[in-house]
Amino acid sequence: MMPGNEAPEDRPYPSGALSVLSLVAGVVAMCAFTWIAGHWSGLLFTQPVNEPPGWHGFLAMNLCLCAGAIWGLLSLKPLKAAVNVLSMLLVIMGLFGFALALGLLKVQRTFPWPWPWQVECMVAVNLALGAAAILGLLGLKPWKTWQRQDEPLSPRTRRSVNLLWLATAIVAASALALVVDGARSAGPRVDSFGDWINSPISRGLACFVIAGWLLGMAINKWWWYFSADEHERRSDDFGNLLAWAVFLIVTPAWWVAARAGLVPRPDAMLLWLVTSVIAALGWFWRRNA
Amino acid sequence: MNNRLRVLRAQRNWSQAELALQLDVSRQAVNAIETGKHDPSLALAFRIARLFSLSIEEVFDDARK
Repeated sequence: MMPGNEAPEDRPYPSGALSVLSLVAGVVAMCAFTWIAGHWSGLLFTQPVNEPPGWHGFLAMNLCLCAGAIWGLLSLKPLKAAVNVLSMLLVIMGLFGFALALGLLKVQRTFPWPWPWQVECMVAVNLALGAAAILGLLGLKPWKTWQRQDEPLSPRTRRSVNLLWLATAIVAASALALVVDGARSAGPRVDSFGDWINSPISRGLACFVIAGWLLGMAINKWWWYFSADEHERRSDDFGNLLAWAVFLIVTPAWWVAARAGLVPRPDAMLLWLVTSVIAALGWFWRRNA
Repeated sequence: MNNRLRVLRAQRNWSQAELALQLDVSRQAVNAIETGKHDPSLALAFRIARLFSLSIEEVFDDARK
């Protein structure tokens, strides 16, 4: 490979406007998926299935948003950003689909047979969504955009990449287990997605997840940090600093606003999620800038 | 800090990934050094200079001259 030919490949975004468009479409699609999942979970765990007025119209609108966003992303397929955003959406869709189907089956086992036909339909739809997500990921092959297929990796780089995959697996396994167990314990009383996410979980699963985070993630993070090269570490430091600055600024403001009754009380997990996303974005941006 | 890494690499017809492999860093690190977005540590600067059989001053320039 001639070094002079590498500049375009090192800059995977040929057009800033198209990249922004793909990201906007991705965010819209994610919101639509979340809304749909929320509505589904609310309906699935209500016995008997009660459909609120106007639900069909709302669901149709969200499905149209999803379809439009996915179509837009597919039309931007040559862009690495579009492929990756679409893949992220498919992962979310797959997780939601399988988790909702499993949660529904666990809840429904406590009710006598036959179940309402809507329940069986919803299980089938969610399983189909999960399967479609897997097929979509296999078709898009986003991993081909993450690294050139013929690119040699140094031992240090290979180790840090493998550790990143391990961390991703721990996060995904924990999230899936929490969603399924939360759905089981919440049962038919839950009628909103927010209640479902914060529903109680069993102690056994909690111990497993806590051990995974305290031991698995801590060791993984430490090992990754000292396996990564200095550029990677400096990018990670930048992302962490950015996230810490946001936490320092946002948390007191939220706390004061909550005391004044302007907003709900600060949510630790929401703050964790926001700072984690900012740290990851900061690291990724600095690493690939 | 300015550097001649891209030129030296081109003279040997190495890709960024091939250079990264020899330096035991990621391709992104090589790219960041070449584009001046990352100033390497002294240890890495020595490794780079030794790889090209040059002194550090022949590879890197603090741009103050």
